[in-house]
Formats: sequence, C-alpha cells, structure tokens
Amino acid sequence: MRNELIQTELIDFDFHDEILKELKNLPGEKNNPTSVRDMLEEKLTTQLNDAKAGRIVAIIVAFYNFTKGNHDYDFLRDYYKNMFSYYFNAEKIERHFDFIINNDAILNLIINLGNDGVISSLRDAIQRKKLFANGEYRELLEKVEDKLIKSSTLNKETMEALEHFSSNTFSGSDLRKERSRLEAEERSLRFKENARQNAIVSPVADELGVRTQDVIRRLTKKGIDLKTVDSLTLAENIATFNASKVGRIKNDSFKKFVNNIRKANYLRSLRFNVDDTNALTIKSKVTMHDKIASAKRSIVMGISSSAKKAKFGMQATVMMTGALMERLRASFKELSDFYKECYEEAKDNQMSIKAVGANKVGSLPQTVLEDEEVKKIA
Amino acid sequence: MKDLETIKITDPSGKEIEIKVITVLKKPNEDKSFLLYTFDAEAENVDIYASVIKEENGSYVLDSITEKDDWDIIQKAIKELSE
Repeated sequence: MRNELIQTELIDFDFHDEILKELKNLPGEKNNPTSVRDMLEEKLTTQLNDAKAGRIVAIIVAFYNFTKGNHDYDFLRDYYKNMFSYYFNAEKIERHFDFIINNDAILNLIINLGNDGVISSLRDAIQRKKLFANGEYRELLEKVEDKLIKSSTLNKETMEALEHFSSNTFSGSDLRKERSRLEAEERSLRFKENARQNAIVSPVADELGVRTQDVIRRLTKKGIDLKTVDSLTLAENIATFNASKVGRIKNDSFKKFVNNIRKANYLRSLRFNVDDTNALTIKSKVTMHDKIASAKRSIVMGISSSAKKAKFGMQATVMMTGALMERLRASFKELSDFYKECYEEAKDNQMSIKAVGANKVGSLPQTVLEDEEVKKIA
Repeated sequence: MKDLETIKITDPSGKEIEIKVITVLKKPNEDKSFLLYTFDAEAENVDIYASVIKEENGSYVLDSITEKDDWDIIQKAIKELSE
C-alpha cells in the first residue's frame, strides 16, 4: 500500500491513475485542447477547495502525461510547471527527500515539470546531505545530482545570458534564489486569488444549482474580470427564478396578456372562480416558516417551492382544500377538452396556441446566466 | 381590466396572503397542469409565477416546476399570449 503521507502531501498515485484513465477514455468530441483544458480547470477547482496537495499534483501530472508530446497542448506547459512547482516546494522536498531520490518517476517529474526553484531546492538538499553521507547513500545522492545537472544543461545558455545580464545586481546563485523567491511569491498570490474568487462565486453557483466553474466560465466569456470583483449577488429576476417565477412583463403587456387569456376562446375554459371562503393552506414545513412570515418575496419562495428547495427534498408547499379543489377538478376537465381542441386546431392553422402545445424544447435553465444575471457590486 | 380571481393563502401563523390567479395551463396530451399567478397585478412590471398542480391524497397541491420542458412551454405560452 502506498504511503498515505506521500499520497496526501506529494502526489496521490491512485487519483492520478484514475484521472489518466478518464482522459484516455475521453470520447472523440471531448478529446481536444479546449475540452481538455476545461476539464483540467474543473478538476483543479474542485480540488482547490479541499486544498489536498497530493490530489492537485496528481491532476497536473495526469494531464501532463496525457498531453506530453502533443504540440497542440504546448500552451499548457507553463501552467503545468507553475502549478507543479508551487506544490513541490522546498519544505516538501525536505520532508520527503528519501522518497524522492529513490523514485525515478518522481525525479523525472521534477526534471520535466519543476521550475528552477524546485530543481535548486533539490540540489541544495542533496549537497547538504552529501556532507554527512557515505557508501551507497552517497552514491545515490551523486547519481541524482548528476541527473539534475544533465537535465539543466539544456537551459544553460539561457541561464548564462540571464546571469550575465544581471551580474551587476546578483551573482548567479543569488539570481536563482531571487527568481525562485519571486516565483514562489507569485504562485502564492495566484493561489490566494483563486481561492478568493471561488469564495465569491461559490454561493452564487450554489443558489443557481450550477457548478462554480460554470459560473466563472460564463463571467469570463462576458468579459468580467473577477480580479476586480469584490462580491457577487444574483439579480432579483434570477434569484426569483428559483422561486418559480416564469416571467416579468410590463403592466400594459400584462393586461394584454390577461385579456388574451380571457378572450372567448381562452376565457371560457381557462378561468375558474374562487370565493373568499376557500383558502390555500401551507403545509407545515418548519424550515419554511421563517421565510413565509418574513416578507412578501419570501412568501413567493415558499409558495412556489423553488427548484432550490426541491434539491433538498422539499415537496409541495401549498395545499388547496375544500370546494376549490372541486372547482379546479372541473376546470381541469374543461381545460383538457379545450386544449385538445386547440392543439388539433393549431396543427392546422399555425395559431399561437401551437407554441403551447408543440412542446418545443428551448434552453431556459442553461441560459439563466446569459442576461444580466450577475450584478456586480463595486 | 377586470380584477383577477384571488385565492387566499394562510401561513402556519394564520397570516393570510392573496394570490392573483392568472390562469391554469394544461400540458397537451399529458395529465399535467400549471397554475399561473401573481402577487401584484398593478405593479409597473408584473412578476408571473407558476407552479405545478398535483393531486395528492385527494387534495390539489402546488409544487415546484423542475422540468426544463415545462419551463419552456410555460414561457412560450406567456410569450404567445402577451403578443
């Protein structure tokens, strides 16, 4: 069984295998840079909330392994490197040193995905250990060090040029350390910013019943830079969508709407009379009482038993009783006959009622976010 | 415009609220009906609400609309009838 601490802090191998298998089994239409990038974002976002380093590294490595050698994915290379290096910091290298130097797979990952800071941290650790090492252990340390030196040869020219350029300010070693420090700082800031954005978006996503990443993607597409946003709240029309509000129309249109309903063809069948003696009784749902008693908008939420409540298993909220039930029952039969007539009629003459009966599928839930759904609060 | 029919709602504390019933829509070829209502028909912008009407244990009950198909049909009905 793999070491649990390694799995948690360094890399979760089982999770890596699981992700890689998922990637290899991607259907054709999902096996493209855009979809794979979205999948990577989604998986990282989920894990970032839990802050389990081993799982985050597992995701990075799995995606790296899946995309390496394919130049279509070159745009992800720096991202892999930054994320991997953030989690493979000096502290972890120190803590899991023996495991790392004895594991070729991990060493190869460090060479391929670690930035200069990571390589430098490992080399520093090796040199420190060499002071007190001998025998086979020393040989192993030297072997690993050679491997790191060879791997860095490719970048030597670039490094030398950079060191020469900065020689008035830093020595080569100082430069590496300074770069490493700045990179670590940048990664830390980026991580904090991601966490901050998730904290802002998550409640809105929960309210809408969609994934946080979906909301972020929509906002980004709409040109909203989350870095400049301090808080998000749902616009009223979207918030009440969950309360079964199906539309908001101007009063003039509303009158027309009602009059249309009441026109001979509609009115006769659609109306039902109700007198004041009939009442709707709200079922006793303890979790709803406060809302129902608090405000009108809350009453709406209660009456309509929103999709949000449905998610939590809430069922009916309002019950019709007495004579009203009988009137409704009679009304339904009348309605049923009426709509059958309308439906048949609509098929022939393309009347407006056809839209009601045609059962065409639109995309309302998916488009909830499309229009002014999120109100930015400065 | 003639006033809409009103149904009173009583919450557990005894407070009564009125729903202005706009209409009942029935889904063609299905035994499924929706109650369309509002709370304020005089507002500048009128909010329209909808609930599924279900029969449970001999009573009619208003429940949430969770089917995308239902949402679409209701919205289309409102749109058509508003023109």
